[in-house]
Amino acid sequence: MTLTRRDLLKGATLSATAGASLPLLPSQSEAAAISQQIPTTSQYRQHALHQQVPYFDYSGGGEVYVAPTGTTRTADYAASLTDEEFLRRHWFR
Amino acid sequence: MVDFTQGPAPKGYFSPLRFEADIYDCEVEGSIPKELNGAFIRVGGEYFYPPSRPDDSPFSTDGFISSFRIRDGLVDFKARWIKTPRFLKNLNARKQLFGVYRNPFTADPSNDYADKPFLGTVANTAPIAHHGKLYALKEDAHPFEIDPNTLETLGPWNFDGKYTAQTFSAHPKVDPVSGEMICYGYEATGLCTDDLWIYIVSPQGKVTREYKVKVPYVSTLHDMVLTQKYMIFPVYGYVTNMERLRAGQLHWAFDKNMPTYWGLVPRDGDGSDVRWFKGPASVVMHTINAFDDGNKVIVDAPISDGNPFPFFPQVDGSPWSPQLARHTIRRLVFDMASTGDSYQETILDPTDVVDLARIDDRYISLPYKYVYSSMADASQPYDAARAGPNRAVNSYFRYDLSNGEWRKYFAGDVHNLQEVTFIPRSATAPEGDGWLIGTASNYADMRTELVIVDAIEMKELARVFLPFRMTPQVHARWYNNTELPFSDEVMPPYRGRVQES
Repeated sequence: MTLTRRDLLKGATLSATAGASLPLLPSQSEAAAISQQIPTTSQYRQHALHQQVPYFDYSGGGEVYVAPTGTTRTADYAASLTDEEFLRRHWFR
Repeated sequence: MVDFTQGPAPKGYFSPLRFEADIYDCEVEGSIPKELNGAFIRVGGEYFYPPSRPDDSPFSTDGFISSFRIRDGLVDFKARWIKTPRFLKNLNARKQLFGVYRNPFTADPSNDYADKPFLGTVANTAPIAHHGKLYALKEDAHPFEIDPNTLETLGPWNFDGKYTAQTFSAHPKVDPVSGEMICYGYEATGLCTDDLWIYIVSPQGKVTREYKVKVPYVSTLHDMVLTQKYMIFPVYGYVTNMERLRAGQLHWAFDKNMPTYWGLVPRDGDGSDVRWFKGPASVVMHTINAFDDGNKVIVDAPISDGNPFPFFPQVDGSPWSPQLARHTIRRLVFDMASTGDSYQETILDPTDVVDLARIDDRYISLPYKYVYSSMADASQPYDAARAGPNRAVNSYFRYDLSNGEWRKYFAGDVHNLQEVTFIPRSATAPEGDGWLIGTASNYADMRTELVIVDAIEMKELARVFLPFRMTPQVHARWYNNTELPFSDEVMPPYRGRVQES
């Protein structure tokens, strides 16, 4: 499974378990080749926020970040379209 | 190919922006005081390329500087990446080549900078202006000079070679009496070294004095305080060593068993006469002010009893404690006539505050009255349906040290404020007579707003709307047109063709 940006907007966020199963992107895996061997943290992680600074929380003690709904409902719009219709309206990916 | 979907902020208010910006004649609601002629300059960061490892500290984000240039009641906004060697090298390679927070041993194998760790700086922490120059600061490298009008990066500056420490502070202090800048670097001679080198820079920008001090243990010396007699440095809880870095860890971990030390360095000495005082574990990431009182030295700071940053692990593997991360305003008293090494610590008020506290900078090193910062005021409304469920810092406050009075300003029910700055009404205005200025993240409408508030009445005078959300700053400062050579041009002169007939 690859996660496209549209999938992300539709709600396929990186939960703790989903995040672990997703393949790393080449640019990241390349840079992280050495550090992946180092058991620095647990595999559990949550999107977290601290004083308006986003980070991955591994301890379970951080404030989980839930993106605000806002007034721009990109997620709703993206989810309302079929893939075919989405590509018809937006030729880019 | 760049992809942030697996990064720490794939969506929402804090997802990457990645652009540079110019907004001429910003939308303003209310009335900006006509006396304001200068710029509110913010430094912060976001990843231009995703971090090399998901557990990296957000303090590794690429530096970003922005400016609200204000005069005649009008505002122009500008934002630029800080073009550090790291930013340019990554851009050239089109990927992240640098390791996790201040650890060159975790870098891409093609990028060895362990013997020059300062090349990994992101210059993302704070701005400062002195001797008519503007700098972006981070404590792991020299300051980066920035053109105050274009915000283009002019490069690192070593004060004509006279500043020989490898590192500089994010929070030097400018003495309002002498006009000197007191600055310093810790880990001054390389990674994990216990050297603290302190420098005096004259109002003309020349290094006039150097002090060399050994610290009790290698730790974060993020901020300092100043009196007319002493330069004062807290050493606390965060620890590091080369073994840790070679094992691929972030630069800092928190050790709750390490005591807090305060080093008081006489300004008229040479550094060898530093006196260290010792107290219980705490964190003093930021300070408020200090002053001399006879043989006593008074230091005020927002202090926590434990690790305030959840992304820096505990050395004993214990979970991060939000309770121990709470900051309260505390007063410390150092008796310089005593022969002991202890100090008194008093919590002035039990209210939780954000530790980004500020004062009227004309009173740095001198007796003063007012503390300004921000807080999450639970008595105010919050529209979680529109703004999301995360806690919002919704209010600025003024705390009166003479009588404990609180005055508050509420920014809105979908807003999260960033660090406040006090602007005096004039050079001769009494302490506290002026304005508060700062940016608020509007989580519902996904935009950044600049608020200008009467600092006595704590009432909003004007609000400037950016048509987009902007990277939250780490620190910001106001500088008026006598402190930096601001241009009155709205934009660079037009040099294109013109139809003559």
